[in-house]
Amino acid sequence: MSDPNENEELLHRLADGELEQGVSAPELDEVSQAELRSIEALSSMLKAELPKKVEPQYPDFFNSQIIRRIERDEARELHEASPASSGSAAEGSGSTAPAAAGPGGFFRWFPWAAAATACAVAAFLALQGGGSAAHSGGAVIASAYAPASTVQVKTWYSEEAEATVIDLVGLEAFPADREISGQTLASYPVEGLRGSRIAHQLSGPDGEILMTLVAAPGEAPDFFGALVN
Amino acid sequence: MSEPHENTDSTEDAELVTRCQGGDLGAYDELVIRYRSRIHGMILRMVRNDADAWDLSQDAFVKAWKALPKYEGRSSFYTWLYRIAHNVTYDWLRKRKIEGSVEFDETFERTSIDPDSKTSPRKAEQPDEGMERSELRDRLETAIGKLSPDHRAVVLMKDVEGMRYQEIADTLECSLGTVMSRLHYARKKLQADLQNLDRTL
Repeated sequence: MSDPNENEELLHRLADGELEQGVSAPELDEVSQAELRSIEALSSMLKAELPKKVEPQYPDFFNSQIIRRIERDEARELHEASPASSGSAAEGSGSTAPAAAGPGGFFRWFPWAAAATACAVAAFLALQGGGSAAHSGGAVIASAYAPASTVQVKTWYSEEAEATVIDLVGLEAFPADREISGQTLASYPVEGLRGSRIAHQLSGPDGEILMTLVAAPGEAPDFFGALVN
Repeated sequence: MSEPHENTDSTEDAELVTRCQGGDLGAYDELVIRYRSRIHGMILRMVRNDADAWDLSQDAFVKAWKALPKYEGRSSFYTWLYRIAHNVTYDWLRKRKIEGSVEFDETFERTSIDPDSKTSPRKAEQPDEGMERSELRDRLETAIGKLSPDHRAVVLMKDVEGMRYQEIADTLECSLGTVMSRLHYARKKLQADLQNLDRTL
């Protein structure tokens, strides 16, 4: 052990219990023994005084913030990757099928059947993701379609409402005592995308189809509120 | 002999990871619960600031989620996660213009931690924690804070986390020789700084 570096390495390995295979613990002189004790004392002190685990303060909130960030990032990526609004059927031959309707997709285009009255209004609907409180976050709209040529579908995520907002711009007014309803049509996986996609349909007071859309995540979200301005 | 770093049931981890790779955020929530205290503890020791450690810990877990599709199980999930957290922390430290080969001066220590800061969450003190123990910990943390990130990481991984040399090398993606060299230097420096604390050192 004439090489000081080798000797030093040996002492550290001895202190850490990491002697190389085939190497046995040598006889140490007094100086080396003192150095070994010093290394062991330091190591023991660090291990004893510095805890390995330090729980972050407000751990539940810590977790919920992580989940929320993940959901938001994924919503943003999906929104950027897929068209979130679509024009009317008149723009084309109705071939603007939702981008996310992959294998197993079953979208059909329904003719507009509602009576056309009153002036154009915008209807705000909110689509909120389901799941536990720790997984709060809006649903991601992969694609949306409104049969009426005068209605444009716009979607965005509202930080304030913590939900995805669906804006039906140009929707015709109907009496306040008439209700609109949302139905979940089906859930299906899409190859290459994480989770399932869910197809929804929004119907007017007379059962006419106002809008169909495809959304993620996999859990069925709820249409929890609608404002008609 | 030092024990390998603690690893909760690897079978359970594997099941949770598989569910995560299928998009199950609930499973990821469980993994975060399982490892947050260790990851947060490591980052806190490196950056020595509660607020930054909080943010960086979250960054690490978010980044890990996004990288999960690439996780192939060649190392344990915790080792893989630890590497991501270490890299996140290291990048952050670099951005603060702290060079790995240069040791810190006390100016950094004074400005990075303000124990009286209202924004820094503080752990409740144990009633029976003696003043001596608190001072000892402060001295140790101050001495560790003077090391460069490279040296600090190795000594914390070895002496606090209890990782083996090869695990450290794999996590830091460096050679065994580099690990040994940094460890020797770090311990020598700590011994010098703590000389009057314990005559054994």
